[in-house]
Amino acid sequence: MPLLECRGLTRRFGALVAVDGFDLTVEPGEIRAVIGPNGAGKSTLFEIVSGNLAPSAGHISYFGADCTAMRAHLRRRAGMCRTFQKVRLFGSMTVAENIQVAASQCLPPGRDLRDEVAEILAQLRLDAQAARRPAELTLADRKRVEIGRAIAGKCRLLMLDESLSGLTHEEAEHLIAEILTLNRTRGITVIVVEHVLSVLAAMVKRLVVLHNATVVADGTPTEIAHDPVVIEAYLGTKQSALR
Amino acid sequence: MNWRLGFVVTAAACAVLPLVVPQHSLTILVEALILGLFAMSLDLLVGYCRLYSFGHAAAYGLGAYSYALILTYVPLPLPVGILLAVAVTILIAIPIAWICTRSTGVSFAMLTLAFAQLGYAMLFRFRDVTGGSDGLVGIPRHPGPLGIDWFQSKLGYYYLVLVCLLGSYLLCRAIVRSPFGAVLAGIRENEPKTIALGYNTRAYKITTVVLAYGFGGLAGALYAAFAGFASPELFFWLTSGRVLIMVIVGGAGTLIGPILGGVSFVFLEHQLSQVTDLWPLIFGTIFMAFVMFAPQGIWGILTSRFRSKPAAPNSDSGKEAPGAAT
Repeated sequence: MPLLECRGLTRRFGALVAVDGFDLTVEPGEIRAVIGPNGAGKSTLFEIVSGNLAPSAGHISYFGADCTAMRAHLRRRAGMCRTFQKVRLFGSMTVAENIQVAASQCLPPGRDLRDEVAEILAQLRLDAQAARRPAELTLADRKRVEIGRAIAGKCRLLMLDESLSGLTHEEAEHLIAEILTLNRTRGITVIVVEHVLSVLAAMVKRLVVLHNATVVADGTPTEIAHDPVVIEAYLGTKQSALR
Repeated sequence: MNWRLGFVVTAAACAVLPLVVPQHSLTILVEALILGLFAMSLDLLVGYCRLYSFGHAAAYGLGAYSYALILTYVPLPLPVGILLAVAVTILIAIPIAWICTRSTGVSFAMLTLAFAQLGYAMLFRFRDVTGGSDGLVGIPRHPGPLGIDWFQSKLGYYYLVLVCLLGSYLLCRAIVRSPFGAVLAGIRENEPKTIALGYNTRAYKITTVVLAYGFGGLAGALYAAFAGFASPELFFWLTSGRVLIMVIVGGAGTLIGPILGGVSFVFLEHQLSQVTDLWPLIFGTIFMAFVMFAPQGIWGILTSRFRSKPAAPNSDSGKEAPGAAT
């Protein structure tokens, strides 16, 4: 049974169509990417899937159950987690408290809150930063805390909204390694939204390309990199940017 | 200073204060403490949820009129009457909170104002029960239970109000420092992200509005029992404006700040009104000065020298630059 199924998802803002007939099937344990240039509808898609925006048409299934009308906080409790494009942690709390406040809401029965927080801090290499406040962290660490906060407690599906943007190549590589570890050790299915393909090749096996609110390609990173429609519509003629 | 030591010292100072000031100052002291409690109740909304209520007078008025009406018809002991008034205020606050929290920002402010003004208008509409523009006068302070009557004197009542204020402060402090308070901090800083963490933020906001009404109702009931009357002005928008000023001048999001704001307001009003009829003008200027030059309020100014500065980011890559990952 697929973990997530989107069928014909459409979102209109007046005359503007932000997402148009989007289809996606994600199997448990998979890492899938959705890429597209700015304004393609990627973040709107996450807003719809996470429940912050109601779709104008279409439906979403989560483990086979229709969750199109489910409220955002209930989706999170069911294990649909997300990060946001702009990292804004709770500035008045320490790193550990940021993760704790998230874990305490969705903690599975029998799981100790402190163990959960400690495990996430260790997995994301944030132990040394546990007592610090977000203002004292680098961007890379703030992104780690954002991810840690998203997966704290119960997490089956993690939607990462441009989590790699703003990082140096080295920082991005480290973060990708940690995301792969989370996928492997915690069994978390991941959907990554990015606007640049090159950083994703090491992480995903399949990706979807959005352009002007519609899917223009679906395939492996290599297929996408050589797809003339993608090159024409998404990246112009600069093929080198794909590799 | 350790907060427990600070709390004990402050409580002891407040306990000794009425013994060293002239007897006629007791009235102002009691009013100052009551308004401090009222301002602290609004701080739960303004300082901890970023919910700017322009109608918090409704809580004050509901508490006062509930106490007045209960005591007019049933000769209950004062503490029981006050507790019942708080319970009535909380019950009425539930539907108000449910409706108001459907909105945020200016809409929330306008809805709270509308409910307060609705209450104000109803006082005139149901004149037979509420006394209309005359309000309710001659509200008794019955002794008991168990024959306790020390709060019937002005000094005794001061201590009753002080106990209520300190107890409410401790309760509010425990609330904002609990996991519940951590969620409120999340709502204040970024509500969409708090929802994304699985929290039903509206339920938290409804609870906070009801709590704020409860503490505001306690202040109103204490005032009605002390003054012996409840007038429509308690519901009026000017009362809401005054308490909002107390919170901002005192320092929102600190609990202690609004208490200081309320106490300062009463004393300044008392002193300035003896000197000039233009005291509201001076007060307005002071308020503007705080908004412009000291938005952290009185408590923020007092504590700023003890606050440590956050350390600098430990890397240069502290700013987001979309696309830089390539």
